[in-house]
Amino acid sequence: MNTTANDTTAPWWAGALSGGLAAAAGVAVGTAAAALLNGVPSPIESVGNRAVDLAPPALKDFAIDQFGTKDKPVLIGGVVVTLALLSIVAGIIGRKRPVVAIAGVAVIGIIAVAAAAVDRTATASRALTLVPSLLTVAVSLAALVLLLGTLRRVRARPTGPGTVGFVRRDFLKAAAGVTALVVIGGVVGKIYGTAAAVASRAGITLPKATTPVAAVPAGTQVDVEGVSRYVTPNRDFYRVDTALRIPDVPAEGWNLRLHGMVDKELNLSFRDLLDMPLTEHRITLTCVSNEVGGPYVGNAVWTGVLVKDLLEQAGVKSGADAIKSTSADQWTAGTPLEAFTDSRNSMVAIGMNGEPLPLAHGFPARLVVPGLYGYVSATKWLTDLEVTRFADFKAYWTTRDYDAEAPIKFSSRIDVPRSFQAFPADKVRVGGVAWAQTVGIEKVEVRVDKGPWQQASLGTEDTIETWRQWSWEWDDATPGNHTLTVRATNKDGDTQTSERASIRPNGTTGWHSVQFRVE
Amino acid sequence: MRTTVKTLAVTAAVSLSLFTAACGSSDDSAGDQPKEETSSSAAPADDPAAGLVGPGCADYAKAVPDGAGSVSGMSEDPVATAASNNPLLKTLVAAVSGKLNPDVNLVDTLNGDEFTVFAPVDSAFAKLDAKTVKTLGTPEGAETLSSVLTYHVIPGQIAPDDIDGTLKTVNGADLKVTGSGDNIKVGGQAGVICGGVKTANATVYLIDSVLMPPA
Repeated sequence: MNTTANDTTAPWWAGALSGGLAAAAGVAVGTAAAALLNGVPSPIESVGNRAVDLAPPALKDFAIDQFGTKDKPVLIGGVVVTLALLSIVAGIIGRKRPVVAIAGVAVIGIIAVAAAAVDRTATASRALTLVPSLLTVAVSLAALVLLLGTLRRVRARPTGPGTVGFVRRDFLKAAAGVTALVVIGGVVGKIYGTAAAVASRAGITLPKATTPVAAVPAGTQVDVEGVSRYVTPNRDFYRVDTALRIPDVPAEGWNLRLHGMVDKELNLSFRDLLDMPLTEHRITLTCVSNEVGGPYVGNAVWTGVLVKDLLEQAGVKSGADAIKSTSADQWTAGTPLEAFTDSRNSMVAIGMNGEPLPLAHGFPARLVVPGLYGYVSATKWLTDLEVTRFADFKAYWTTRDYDAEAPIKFSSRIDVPRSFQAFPADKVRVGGVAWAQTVGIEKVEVRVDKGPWQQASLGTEDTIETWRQWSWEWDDATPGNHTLTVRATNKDGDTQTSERASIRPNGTTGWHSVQFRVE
Repeated sequence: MRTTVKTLAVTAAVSLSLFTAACGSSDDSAGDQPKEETSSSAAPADDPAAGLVGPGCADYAKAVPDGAGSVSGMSEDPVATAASNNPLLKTLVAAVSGKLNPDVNLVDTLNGDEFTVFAPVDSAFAKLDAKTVKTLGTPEGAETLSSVLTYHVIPGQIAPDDIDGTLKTVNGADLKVTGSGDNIKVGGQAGVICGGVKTANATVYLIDSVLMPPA
């Protein structure tokens, strides 16, 4: 293209480059931000996830047939190509009508922000989830304004009369600046976000379980605003582990070794697990570090294979009484062999609430054992199961003053009222959760101040491996400050002790109480 | 030129509809990415000693250099647990945990949400006359004790930079905080010894006098 006098329109390639570079800079910076934040999908991923929801079912079926398990990368590619084309068009239009171009990019940006706002794969807080897409919009718009500005800058012709409407050198300088931003964003994203496990997980579609979990029975969720959701969403599920940096374990190349006191050692790839009959169970996990009334309890649907079945294939030798499990980062747990062979649903899980395990929750596979605290059973990033004897090893926390064996102490928690919550006198409805995994909750009682214990209503029991909700209404509430206390009784007939035990060496005990106010 | 734009626009539209279809029923994707994150069983990444204000911070650090009651130790536990490990807060801990008065136990309540807590040190309680303290331990004194304690607690965590102002306590009454840095006054009477101490769920300001709610 040329720069003849009075030709004030920049060449189309400059417009195309402006649009494309502006979008690339925004995406690079947004993706870098997503890589730096934990549990936040990149803007491209978020848009991709929404696009799937909006696509007609027939097209989806066609796509699954065509692309199979590669559908995820294809989808991401589609979003990128679409965005590139749209922004190139916007840039070309922007040479003459910058407002239209900027409005166009803004609309694309709003779509990205909206997609991030409703992205169910995010496990970080809502506000944090919006950061990458907002940055993408801001950077794209700023870069576009800068580049289009240089396209339209009118200058006196250096030699001779007339003006120049497009100074190639000015434009190329600005373009180089924006390109630098793309590179920096790309490098940051590469360094912090390219866990191979991220791509690996994105490429996995969980097959339907051979034995799917039954629907949640009606009435498990009590009707009290503020009580925990019966099934904990992945983003809200507690995370307690020793990993400063989440182990990066792609499913490809991952191997689970089952060995030790067995007749035949097993080595299983992720594909081997997928090809086994998969089973699904709702199981409530509890962390030993949970204070009385604390948040480290969560209930999820786990998809995987029963450890029992693996042990049967391997053949356990007599004399073994434990399984030592090891994670990819060499953390260890010791679990009684019995917990894998009795009637409970102890699993090697590969799915959590219908999706592949989130990286923070042990991708590609973890142990889930009903009724035992996590530190003696719930090994994430699982790579090794050794059938052995407690006498022959010490697990990670056992060498740190915790007991070698630690069944979950049954307990109960008040979710409502929250601390110092105020109620109108005619509407004091309270509720919470209680858990006694592998035994079941028989009864939950509450009392106000030092009053008599009163029986709370129980939500429907799902299974004895899950928690159970409770609710209670105070009919003749008196104004003032009050303390609500809760205690549970399990199906063995044992009632929680009021005695406070600390976390070490095997978990807390005591009745949870919360002060609230009636107005 | 016009044709170029048109062609690209049409291609974009087609590519969008084609590629949106290119995914199975699973709409999950890699939500988590492995990067630095502290877990509750490991040392926090942020320096808990950063951002402390008050003339007594150095003395506090010297008196409790490490362990669960130190600045970094307190940052790992919920506030009532953290306070119970701090040797300067024995009386306060007795008062909130039912040891002073069995009818007043705020431990779970204080651990159960985010707060800003003005924590009178033992020498602050020593300034109260013995008879008052004794009354607070009786069944009749429970309501007063509860009222006094809740007057020291503000909903939400407030950093030293934002502490200046009139704050609504969980007691219901307002509390006025003035000043900044080494010179922060609470309720017009108490001075902040060391403020901005982080616990797992609350920001703590050690103060040199017990606050009395307006009657």
